Amino acid sequence: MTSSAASIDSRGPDARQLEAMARFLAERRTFGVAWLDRDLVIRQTFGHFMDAMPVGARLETALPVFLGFEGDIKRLVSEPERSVVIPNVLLQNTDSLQERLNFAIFWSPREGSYYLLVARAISRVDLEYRLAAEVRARAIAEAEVAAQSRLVKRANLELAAANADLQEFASVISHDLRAPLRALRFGSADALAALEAGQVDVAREALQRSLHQGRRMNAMLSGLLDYARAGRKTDGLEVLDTHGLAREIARTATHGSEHQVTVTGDWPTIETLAEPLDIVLRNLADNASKHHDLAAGMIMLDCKVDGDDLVISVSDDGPGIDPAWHEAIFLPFRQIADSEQGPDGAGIGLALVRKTVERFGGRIEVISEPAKRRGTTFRVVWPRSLKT
Amino acid sequence: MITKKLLLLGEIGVGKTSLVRRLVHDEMKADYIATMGVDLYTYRIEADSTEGPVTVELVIWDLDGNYGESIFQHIYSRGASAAMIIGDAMRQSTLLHMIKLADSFQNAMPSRSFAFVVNKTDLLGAPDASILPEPLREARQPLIWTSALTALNVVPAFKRISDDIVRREH
Repeated sequence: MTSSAASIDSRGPDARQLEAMARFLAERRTFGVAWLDRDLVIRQTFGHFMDAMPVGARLETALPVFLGFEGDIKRLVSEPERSVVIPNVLLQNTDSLQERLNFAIFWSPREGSYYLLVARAISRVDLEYRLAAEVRARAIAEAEVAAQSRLVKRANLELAAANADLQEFASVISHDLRAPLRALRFGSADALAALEAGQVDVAREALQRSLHQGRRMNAMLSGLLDYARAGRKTDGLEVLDTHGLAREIARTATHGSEHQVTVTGDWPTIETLAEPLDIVLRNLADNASKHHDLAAGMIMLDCKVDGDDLVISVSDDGPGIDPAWHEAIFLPFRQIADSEQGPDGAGIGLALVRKTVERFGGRIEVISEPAKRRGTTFRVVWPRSLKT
Repeated sequence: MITKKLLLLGEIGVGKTSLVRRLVHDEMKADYIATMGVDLYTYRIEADSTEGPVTVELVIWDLDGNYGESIFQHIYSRGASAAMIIGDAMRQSTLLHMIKLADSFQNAMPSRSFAFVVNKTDLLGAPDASILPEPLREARQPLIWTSALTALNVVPAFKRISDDIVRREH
C-alpha cells in the first residue's frame, strides 16, 4: 500500500460526512463515487460501486472502460483544473452496473492526495433528449435522401424526354430528309444523262435544281440543329423588359416587307430566361410576316398578365390556317414536306416554338378559322416563374 | 492474460452490435435499436503468437455509428489497440465509408491493427467480391465476410484481429 493510500484510509469520511455525502450524491443522481490512489488502485467506494469495484483492485481491471486512459488520468496531477470524462457508457458484462453512466475522474489534492471517480446515471430525460436529437438527425437525412430521389426522378424524366426527342429526330432524319436527298440524286443523274447526250442546257437546269435541293437540305439540317437545342438552358435568369423585347422584334420581323407590326397590352418586366422567350416571339412574328398574302398586312403583338402567367398573342390578318393543319404545323418540316418551300423557310419554326414553350412549363395554341374570317392568332402562355 | 481495447467502427445499421452480441452472448435480436454513446463488452479469446497461445481479454467498444470519422477526435478512441471496420454487404455507401474510416484510423493511430468486416453476408447468399469497391478489393488488410444472423465467421473475425494485435504488440 502506498503512503497516499494510507492517507486516504486515515482521513476518510466519517459516518456524518458519509450521510451528508449520500444526500448530496442522491440529489444529483450520482451512481457511485470511488477514491483512487496515485497508482489508480481503488481505496474506497460509495454508492452502487460496492460490488463492481473491490477495494485494492486496479481501476482498469474493475472498470475496463478506463483501459488506455492511465496517462490521461495521471496528467491530472499537474493539471488539477482538468478532468477525464467518458460519457454515455453502458457496461454490458457487468451485472451490478446495468445503467448508462457518465464517468468523470478528478485529482483532489486537498484532504489527502487522491483521485476521485464519479459516475452519474444518465436520466431518462437525457436519453429521450438524445433520442429526439437522433430522430431529428435521421429525419434530416431522410429528407436529403428524398431530395436526391426527386433529382433522380427529374433526371429520369428529362432522359425520357431526351429519348423521345431522339426518336423524333431519327424519324425526321429518316423520313423528311429523304425527299430533298432523292431530288438531289435524280437531279444529278438527269444532269449526267443530259451531258452524255450533249444537252448542256438541260444539264445546267438539272444541276440548278440539285443546287436548290442542296441548299434546302442545308437549311433543314440547320433548323433541325436549332430544334435539337431548343429548351436547353444556356444562361441564367435575368431581369427582362418584355416590352422592349416585343418592340425590338416588331422592328425586325418584317424583313423589308411593308407589313405593319404593332405592340399592345401590358408587357411587364420579369425575371426570366431571355433567349427562349426571344426565340418564341421572333419565330411567331417572322412566320406571320413570311406567310402573309397581303403586301400591307397587319401583325399584332399583345400581352396581358394572368396570375402567374403572361398570355402573349401574336396575331395577323393573313389567309389563316385551316383547322385540319393546326396540329401538323407544329411538327418539324411538315410544311416543307408538303409544299415546295424555299431554303429560307426550313419548316422548323413552329416546332421549335412549341418545344421551347413546353420545355419551360408553358403552352401554345393556334386560333384560326379561315372559313369564317381571315387571320391567325398564336396564343402563348409563358410562366413568370420558369420551370428550369 | 493481456487486455486490449478494440473499436467497432462503421456506419449506423451495419450490424456492429449484432456482431458483438453474437460473439459475447451468442444471440441475435431481430429488433434494431441504434447504439447511443458506447456499449462496452469484454470477451476472452485465445490468440496465436509466435511464442504460442495467449489469452486476450478484448474490451470491445461498440460505438454509436453517428460519429463517423470524427470518432478519432473523440475520447472514446483513446488507447485503442485495434479497430474492426464494418460495412453492410447490401449497402454500397457503407462499404465506401469503410475505406474512409480505414484511412482516418491509420492517420490517427498509425501502426495499430485493423481488419475489414463485411457483415450481412447471409443476404448475398455467399461472399461475393464483385460487390466490393475497388479499394476494398485491393486492400492489404484482412477482409472477413460475416453474418451475425447465421454466426458465419464471427468468432474467426475476432480471433483474426486478436492474433494481429498479439503479433504487433508482443
